[in-house]
Amino acid sequence: MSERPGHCHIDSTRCVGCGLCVTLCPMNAITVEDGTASIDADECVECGVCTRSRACRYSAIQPGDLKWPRQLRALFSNPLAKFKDTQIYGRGTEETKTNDSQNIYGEGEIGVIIELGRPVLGTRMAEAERVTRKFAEHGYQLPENNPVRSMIVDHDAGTLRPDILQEKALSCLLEFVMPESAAEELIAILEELDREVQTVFNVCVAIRADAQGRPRLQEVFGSDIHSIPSVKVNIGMARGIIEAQK
Amino acid sequence: MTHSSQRRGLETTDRCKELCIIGMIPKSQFNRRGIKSAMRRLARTMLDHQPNNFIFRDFTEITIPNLGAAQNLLEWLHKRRPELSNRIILWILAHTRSGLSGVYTDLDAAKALITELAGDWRSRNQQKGYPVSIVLSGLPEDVRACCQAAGLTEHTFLHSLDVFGSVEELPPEEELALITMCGHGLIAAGRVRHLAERIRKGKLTPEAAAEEIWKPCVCGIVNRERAAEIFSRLASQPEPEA
Repeated sequence: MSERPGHCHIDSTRCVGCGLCVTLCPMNAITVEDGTASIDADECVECGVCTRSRACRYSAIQPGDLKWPRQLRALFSNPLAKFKDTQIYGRGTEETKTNDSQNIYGEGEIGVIIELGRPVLGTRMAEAERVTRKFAEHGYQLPENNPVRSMIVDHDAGTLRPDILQEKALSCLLEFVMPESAAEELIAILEELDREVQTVFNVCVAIRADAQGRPRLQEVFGSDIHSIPSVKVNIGMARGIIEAQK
Repeated sequence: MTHSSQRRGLETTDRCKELCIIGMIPKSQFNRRGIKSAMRRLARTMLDHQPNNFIFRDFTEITIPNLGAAQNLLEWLHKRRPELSNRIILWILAHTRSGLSGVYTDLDAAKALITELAGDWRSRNQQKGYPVSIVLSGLPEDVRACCQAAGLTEHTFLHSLDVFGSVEELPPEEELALITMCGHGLIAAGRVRHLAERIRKGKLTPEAAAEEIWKPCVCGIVNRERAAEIFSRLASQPEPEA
């Protein structure tokens, strides 16, 4: 019996070259040539969109037998893959979502969440290292519960283990906690990363509301700060529950 | 699902168009005895208030890992009683996942949902010690309207400072508005263009295209109404050059 390839692939004996799978791929890694589809294994992030979908009537799209470090692609790209370090499906973390009970970002702090590779482009882990190194230069390290932290070999320098650097993911979430007084420093870091990072990255900042529940973005960053109109808000339903148990 | 804070295409004038909701148990509390009952009730309440979309809605389009033969049985049921199979799926999810998500396009429905959750559900959680958090994504005025209706005050804001880096490689803004609707970034740019092209050729309606784009993901926060509006606009534009 032949071994299953170590990445998502097309079984050419089943593929009829219809091309229905081509537009499904978020990384644009599927092409059809000479009547058969194929997946560019280097560009594929193992997100599982093509294998979960039922676009192929002939079951020609086959999942790979993923081994380390390729497994990392699925962990950072497939929302149905569970990350053992965070026990959260996909690459996400709790960030603002449970801040009312977990107090991850306290009064006077800024939670900085950088998501590399989104939208559309994806990211090599080398770009994640570029960010962790930059923040490490300024004395900021990833928190314990961030999935990337377990892949850092030198926390003071922000260096990731070398075997993962060329792995590609749909996105990679990096988090840092800074004091509100470091708002200007954060903007300077982002300006440097804007020039250096070889993909796109989203930046979100988490800030506690004031006593009346109003946002404080402009109070912390100044009135010139640009943000998109949408916000994500923890509305405090779990406030005080864990403290009451203690 | 940090990406719900990065949804594009919602302008400050688009009041009452959409609110995403996420309910989440902290990792440290996931195995707490009884906490899944709070998630079950959350799932039921979310469905009662008629979301536009929700996690794993119409799950029959994708193969759910670990469900095995139960998926065939649920698919059979889904063809006959989709409202029942969706409730069963959410019941299963309430037991197995730390988060539930959905999107509402009627602000009154969202207000009613949050008000109901802020009542008995929250009191029971406080009494039993179940710290299930609720997060809303949308325009701050709409979030505020929900909080005020329910007598709550916002706790923490997550603001997106926008996209940095190689932005010149990104597709046009209208395509991005569709692509960023998925909480996990699984909507392909090529898929959006392909569906817009089919609308241009009269082979698909914008509503049908909106039904297609959320299928790659399970997050259930693609707003089908807004997606159909964007597809209409995209299809009315000339075909982009190859």
